[in-house]
Amino acid sequence: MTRNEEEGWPVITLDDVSKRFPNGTFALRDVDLAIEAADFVFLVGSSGAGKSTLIRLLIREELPSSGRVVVDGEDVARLARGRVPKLRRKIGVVFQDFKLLPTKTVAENVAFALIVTGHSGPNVREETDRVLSLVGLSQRRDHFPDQLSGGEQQRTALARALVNRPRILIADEPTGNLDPVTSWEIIKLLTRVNELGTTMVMATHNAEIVNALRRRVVHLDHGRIVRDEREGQYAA
Amino acid sequence: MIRWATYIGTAAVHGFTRNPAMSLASTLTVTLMLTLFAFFLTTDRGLQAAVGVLESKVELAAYIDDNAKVSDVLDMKKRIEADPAVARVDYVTKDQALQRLRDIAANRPDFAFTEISTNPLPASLEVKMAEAREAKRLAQDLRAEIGKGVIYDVVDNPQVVDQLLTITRVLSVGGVAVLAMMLVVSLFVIVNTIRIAVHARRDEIEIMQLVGASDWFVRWPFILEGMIVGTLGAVVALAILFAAAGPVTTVMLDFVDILPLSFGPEFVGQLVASVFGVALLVGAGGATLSVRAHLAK
Repeated sequence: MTRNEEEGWPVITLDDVSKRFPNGTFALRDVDLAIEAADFVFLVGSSGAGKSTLIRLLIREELPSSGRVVVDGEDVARLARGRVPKLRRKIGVVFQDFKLLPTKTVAENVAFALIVTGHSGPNVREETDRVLSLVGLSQRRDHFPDQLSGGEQQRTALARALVNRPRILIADEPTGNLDPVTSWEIIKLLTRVNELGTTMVMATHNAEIVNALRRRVVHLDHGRIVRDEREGQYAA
Repeated sequence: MIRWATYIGTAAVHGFTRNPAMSLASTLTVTLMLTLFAFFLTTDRGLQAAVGVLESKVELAAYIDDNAKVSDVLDMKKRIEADPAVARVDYVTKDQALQRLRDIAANRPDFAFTEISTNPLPASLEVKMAEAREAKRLAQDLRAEIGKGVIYDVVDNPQVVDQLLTITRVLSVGGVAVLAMMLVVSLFVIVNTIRIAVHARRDEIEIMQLVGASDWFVRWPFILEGMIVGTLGAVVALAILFAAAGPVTTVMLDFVDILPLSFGPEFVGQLVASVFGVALLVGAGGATLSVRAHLAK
């Protein structure tokens, strides 16, 4: 058991992080943030406030212009290119647009995440079945994405994000394309995954969900953290 | 392991078949390049064989002054033998030279031989070259000895070899230049073919990277696709070459019947291995360049 598996230790740390784009604008400015293991954090703020940039820093799609981003003990800026995949396997990501492969079935989309990370054998089938039943899609395993509802597509994406048993789950506007009832289904799943010990970071515009869940809220505005509350509301 | 291999193999074949026009174009370009390459290898080998035969026939003769001391002549013989470009030096005495002339005359009815009391033929050192291209230099060295008591004249006839060496050199340089251009064109076409394949699968690549697939895992299907293009090109090129080998050899033999142009199984093996080697290198190299450019974005 590493220290990060114990609750209360930060699994994500941003230390005086700024992200400046080549055109000179700051997407993030002097951000300090520590997220503890098994925490559930909402990132809120208007479009362009820096939520997506923060997420891209965590999965090392972007590098900070200054400051340190540490994810599960790894300084992402110092991570050799060859070790980035190992970091990403610890992080599951879900997007607003699902990013499913249209030519693969539900089960294939999920198994894909295992196969391309080097898994093989009966293990692939077992793990795929496990997460499909977790998200309630066992009956839909042989359907293609265009045969699914939006909620089912997002659950497929969630299953894919979870199949490698990530320590952190990042959701970027996961309910942005879903109706309210379906959104709640997804949120229930996410809280369940969080209760099983996975650290959750979720960027959202959905005030109703944030206000109902009363979890930690980190509010970004123009690239700065303007509010960080343990049991926060969408708006201060 | 099996799923991994299946995934990579399937993805590579899909990539190749998804865009048949481009795959065909790149295969044909690679075929053309490899056909030229194989033809060049074969011609080069043929010319080298020819040069070898002619080289073995190249001789220099240094005529010996009648008054030279035998010990000096033998010293000179040793000196020439010490030259690394020399295969053999024969000392032909005056009597042996005369005997040769008699033998030639005896075999030629149109050649009457009158008995003479004195022997006008000089003794000589006959030099067989190991490296024909050095003949000119050696002849010059020996000419410098003229008048110093041993050698009074040097006869060499390196023109044929010189011409052949020039042809070989031109062909080598020209061939390498043409091959280099074809190589660049092939690489360019493969890079573009794979770029299209990468573009068609960019969503898949994005997801692969997101879930933590290694760069190698992302690259392999494309590298394999490049190797498929290369292998197909090699197979077609060799088929063309072997189909053409019979008729071309016949024509060549009619044309230059002195050249011992036959290629043993050893050369055929080398040729096949070289063609496939170049094909795989170009295919895999082009693909690697293409995917690397995409991954670096």
